[in-house]
Amino acid sequence: MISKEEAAQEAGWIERCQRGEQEAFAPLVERYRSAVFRVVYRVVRRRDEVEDIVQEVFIKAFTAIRSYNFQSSFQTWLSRIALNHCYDYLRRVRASHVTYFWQMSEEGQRNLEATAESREPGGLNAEQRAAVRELASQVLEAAPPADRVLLALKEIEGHSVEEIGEILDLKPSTVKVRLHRARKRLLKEVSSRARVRPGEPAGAPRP
Amino acid sequence: MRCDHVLEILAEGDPRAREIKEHLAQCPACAARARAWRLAQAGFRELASEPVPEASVGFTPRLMRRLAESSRPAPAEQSFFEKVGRRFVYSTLMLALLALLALAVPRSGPLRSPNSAELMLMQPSVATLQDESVLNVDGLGSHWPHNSTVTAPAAGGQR
Repeated sequence: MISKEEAAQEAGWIERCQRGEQEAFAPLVERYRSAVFRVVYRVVRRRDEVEDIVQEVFIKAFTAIRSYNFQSSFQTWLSRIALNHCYDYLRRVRASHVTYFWQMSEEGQRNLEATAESREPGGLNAEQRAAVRELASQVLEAAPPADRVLLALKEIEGHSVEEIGEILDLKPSTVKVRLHRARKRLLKEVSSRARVRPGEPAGAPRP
Repeated sequence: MRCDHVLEILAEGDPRAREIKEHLAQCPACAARARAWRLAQAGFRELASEPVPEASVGFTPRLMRRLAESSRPAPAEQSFFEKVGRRFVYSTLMLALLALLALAVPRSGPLRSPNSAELMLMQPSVATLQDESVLNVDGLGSHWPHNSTVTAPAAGGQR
């Protein structure tokens, strides 16, 4: 959260930008740069691409700054632009078949199966943590772009359904429905990659 | 409890945990889902703890330059400078072209003598000139010192 004075200062910068004064944009960039880096990185997950994407996001934001009406916070408005941009980027990348699909290492697979069998994945060792991290990045990479945006906001960044609704300009009920579908698709991916076997109820003793 | 609710309840950390436990104990499909979900959650927790890359040095100035370039509305004074700039570029190119020509012309021969150019192409070795008549090819012979070394074919003067 920013203080009252900071908010007033910020409103001044934004109004100047809306009149076309580019210099007034620099302090806004400085203030929100790391927030935008964060949101872009969580969705796109390519370290080498993030900086370029963030630059494009800010350029888009300046071009569209007259449409900012001070209803939501500037950060929310910026995040919306960033996420729309990420979404377009992911669709482009998918369309050009750059999405890579890599196989998990034998060891990672074994660690994952061990993790899946243990009931409480709270106390994971280093290998198991690496295995679940690899799994999560793989399934996110394979997910449709819209799912990826939602899952990154909810499961990684920990935003509430209401917050996501505000950022994406959607009704919370819509977010809920889409999130549910995204999770279902995600679980299918997880099960097939981690070889989580149905057939043994969690409580049943293993042979 | 319906299977379809299980995931939602799991994902949202619903307080109906006991109900879920009972269902999972009886429903293999949901139990497998629950395991998959726990794996995914553990993975997401790991991803959330990953450090986010930071902007490299000069990020904001670079952005401001890009912004200035991309949104230039070309008012009158700028188009004036643009015109002047373009003329400057053209004249520089012209001068460079002329300079190149000036460098190329004497080597290609015709201004000196058609024969010497041809012979230079045929026999591009360095020869020591002993015959004074060679130097007369281009009419400079008398000014040259007698035993000088010049890049020219020895046979030049014989023709």
